[in-house]
Amino acid sequence: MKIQQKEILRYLGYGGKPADSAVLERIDAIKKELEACLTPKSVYGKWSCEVNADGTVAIGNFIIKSRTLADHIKDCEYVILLAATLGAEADTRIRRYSVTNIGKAAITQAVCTAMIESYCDDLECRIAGEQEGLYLKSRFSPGYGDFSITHQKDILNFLECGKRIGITLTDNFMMIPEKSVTAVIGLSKKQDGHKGKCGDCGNLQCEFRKEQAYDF
Amino acid sequence: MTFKERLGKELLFFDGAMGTALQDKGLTAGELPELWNITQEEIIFGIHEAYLKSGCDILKTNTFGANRLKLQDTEYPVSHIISAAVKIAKKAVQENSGEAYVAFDLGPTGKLLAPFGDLDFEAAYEIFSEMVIAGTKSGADIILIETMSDLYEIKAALLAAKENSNLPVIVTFTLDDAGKLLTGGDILTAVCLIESLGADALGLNCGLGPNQMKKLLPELTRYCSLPIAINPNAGVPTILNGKTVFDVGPDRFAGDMAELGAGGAHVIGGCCGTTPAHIAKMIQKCRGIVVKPPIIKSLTAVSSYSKTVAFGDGTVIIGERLNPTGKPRMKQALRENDMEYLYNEGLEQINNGATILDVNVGLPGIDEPAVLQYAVTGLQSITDTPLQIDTADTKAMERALRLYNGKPLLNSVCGKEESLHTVLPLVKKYGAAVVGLTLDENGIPETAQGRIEIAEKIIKAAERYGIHKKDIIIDTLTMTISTGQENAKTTLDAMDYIRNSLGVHTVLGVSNVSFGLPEREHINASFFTQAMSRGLSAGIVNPLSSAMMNAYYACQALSGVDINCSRYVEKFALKSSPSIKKPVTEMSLFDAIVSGLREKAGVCAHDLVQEISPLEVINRHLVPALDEVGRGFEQNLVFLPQLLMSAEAAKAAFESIKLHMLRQGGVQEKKGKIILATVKGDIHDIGKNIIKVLLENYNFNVIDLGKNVEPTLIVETALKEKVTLIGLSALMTTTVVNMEETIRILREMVPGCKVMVGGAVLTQEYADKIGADFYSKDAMGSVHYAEKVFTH
Repeated sequence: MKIQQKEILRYLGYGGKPADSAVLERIDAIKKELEACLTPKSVYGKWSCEVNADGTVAIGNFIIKSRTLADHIKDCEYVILLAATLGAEADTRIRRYSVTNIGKAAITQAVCTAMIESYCDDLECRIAGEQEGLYLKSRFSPGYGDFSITHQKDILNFLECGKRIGITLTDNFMMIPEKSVTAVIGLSKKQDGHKGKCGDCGNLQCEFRKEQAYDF
Repeated sequence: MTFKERLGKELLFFDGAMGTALQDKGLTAGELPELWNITQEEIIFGIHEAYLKSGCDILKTNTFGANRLKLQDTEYPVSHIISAAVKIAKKAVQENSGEAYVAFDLGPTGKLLAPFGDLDFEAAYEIFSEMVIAGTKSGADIILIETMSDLYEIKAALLAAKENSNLPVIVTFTLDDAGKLLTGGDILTAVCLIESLGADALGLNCGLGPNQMKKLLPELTRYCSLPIAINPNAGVPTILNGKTVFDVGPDRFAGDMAELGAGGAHVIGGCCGTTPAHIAKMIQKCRGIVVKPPIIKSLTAVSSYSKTVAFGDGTVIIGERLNPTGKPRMKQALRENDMEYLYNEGLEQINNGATILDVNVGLPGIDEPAVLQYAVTGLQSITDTPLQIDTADTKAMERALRLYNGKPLLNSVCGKEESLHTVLPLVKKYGAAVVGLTLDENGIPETAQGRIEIAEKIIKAAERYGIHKKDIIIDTLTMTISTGQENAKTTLDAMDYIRNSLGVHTVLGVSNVSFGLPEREHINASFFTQAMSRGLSAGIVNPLSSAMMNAYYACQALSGVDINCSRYVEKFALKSSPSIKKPVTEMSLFDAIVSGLREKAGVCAHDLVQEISPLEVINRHLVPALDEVGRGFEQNLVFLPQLLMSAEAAKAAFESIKLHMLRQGGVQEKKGKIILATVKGDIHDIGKNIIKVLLENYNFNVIDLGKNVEPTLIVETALKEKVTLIGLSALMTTTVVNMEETIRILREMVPGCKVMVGGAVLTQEYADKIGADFYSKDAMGSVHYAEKVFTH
């Protein structure tokens, strides 16, 4: 897994500006530490789906009412449901460093975020290799656009994440471990090449939005 | 014969999967299987019947998720579903030979327990108790706690089972292919906890197929004294076109299960993907296998949620520093509820070689049960090092033992009748190991023989409470040699006998031996060496003392415990022994903070405060440096990591100032009180923690209420502490509503207080809408606002 340095700096608020060597050294050390102690886990599966004109997506009896998701996967007959996590140790380390060294905590947090994203990117590659004649749309997670975050629950249930990779939800639909991702990935017969991970999101004010995302 | 009489003596057979059968009968993903006990009674009956016909001895009821969290949106109360489920299973047994047992099946809540998640331990306990009571009342024969992946949840469920039922309890947990629980624990840690809390059998289910479980069985039989239950899946599940499929058919399953039965399992059956055909084949293949009777092990071990420390090989280092006795800075931290100080002291000891941390917060005038609970759960949220709960307050003791995540070590019981009869029942109930002090109503005996007799008395009394001597660690009490030269020898003679003749583990606090003498470390280290060479199992010492730790590493190498002297070499090769760093005076405090150099900032502040007043150090050096970095941050010249490195450096400087003030007997005046909290429902708190460090750097008195904070607690604290500024953080759209609610209540109950808000999803517009006084868009915003609020 290649953790993107650019992403780490973006999460730390550098906005494209260079970081000094002391910070880069710290990032490097933390990257090494986390790579050695974390074991990311994932579950995914393929389901047939129906994308309806009224802005709903039906995956079996799991109905998602989301115009943005329906648009995003409009020509898809199948979807991949995916869940991935860095595991509990990532949370413990962030908590520990919040007490001992808040700077280290902030960097650890950023590296973990970049790491789970890279891990999902790798998974996507693997999934893409398993599909014959179908192409992956970019992954779309609860919380994007009008895809309600409450659907975390359905995805986690579908994939039995509690017992298989240890992701649970709080009453407010936050995932624990914190560094976890759930997503719907449309499988299309057409290859469209995605815009970049956040390019499809409607939140133009997002401080973490990538520059290339404006490019549409 | 009853189930308990047969358990462990013959191979018994569980049934197979319920969920898989239900899915075959049309249960859809997301539908609650437990409702079928009401709506599809005959299908459930049919599944049970099919398993009985395949020859199983034990049916699992269809109650895996019959808890109030999962049933809350249905019209059925928990007891109703459970009694229906048990009734169907019992009816199936009666109508088919009548010879099988009904195991009331109890699965995880689906939530993660606090402090990692948002379900309180006691709430989990209540959920399980409700289930246990219903299952027992309905006439089940056994309680099966299964598919557990979190030891803390197992503890809640097992306590609920033991406290609300007399039925035999089997606990099975789920491991990943590396042999670990999802929360990080290994087999030894799980065995330690489950055995100590009084289960009748334990083992594995779900997650893996029989072949993988075969590989894990030797580890189970190595540590486990109880009968072992194994319910594997029919292989590892994969999702194919929306359907979960398993790859191990009945024949292969039966073959593997026969090996498990011959290899040390006592109760075997199936989990997900197994069918009556699997079970029938398994039983056919396994009939006639003679089980290996469980062997009682005598390993002394304590654990956290994921890590076990075993006694026996070499000496265990128990860090002594989390104790206010003789430590003014620790006293101050406890009185000011400054848990961060305590956590750092704990982590530093771990970094220096402590494998267990003693935790003592006893201080006159302190609410010890509350503070001990806070310290224990707080430490457990940041470290997996096991803790030794050190208190004489029975209430504090019980609460800490109950909420401790793992198998606790308790310090202590003594030979006094009252102590034996109040402490030992708690030790038994919560499955602790306990330190036994060799003193009684007549004080500390002067002779080794006298102390040995008290040790024997403690061991006997414990036995009467059902506590095995492996769970007792005797402290023969170190007395100072300056008041009697025989003292060290007496302590060691008693310790030697107890360890080597009674076969009971021993522990000593060491430093007392040198009280009243100069250069105490020489005596301490030498005494520690003598004790270790005579078999001391654990020392309660200061891991930051290099004299003590050097003695420890040397002894481990000399005794051969440190194989190839590798730890010794790792510790000392290429490193000169650590000496106190010379103060770096060339760099100013201002520069040290701006450059984010923690140690230098601490040293500079230490030097500076000898020359000018603490307030001057803060106002003339510390704050200007922070201002400089803050300005850079706001101008996009300095970024978050650098800002926080500077903040850490300033924090270190503050610590030096605090220590100086303590020595002078004064307390640093602070600018104003600010409450910080992450709102109810929100468990992301790094943003709040950043703000806290910065505000403290600017000398504000921050009351940190943590995360997931009830609005009422914020109101109460604001009123009690007369706080006029409150900072709230929320990270999710789903929790911003709770921020709004908190502000509404604050406006009503604490008129006049100011509220500042921050968090990823907030905007100025939204902050205005929910009635906040100030929206802090970044880390420095709240500092400026606080300055404004408190200077007008």
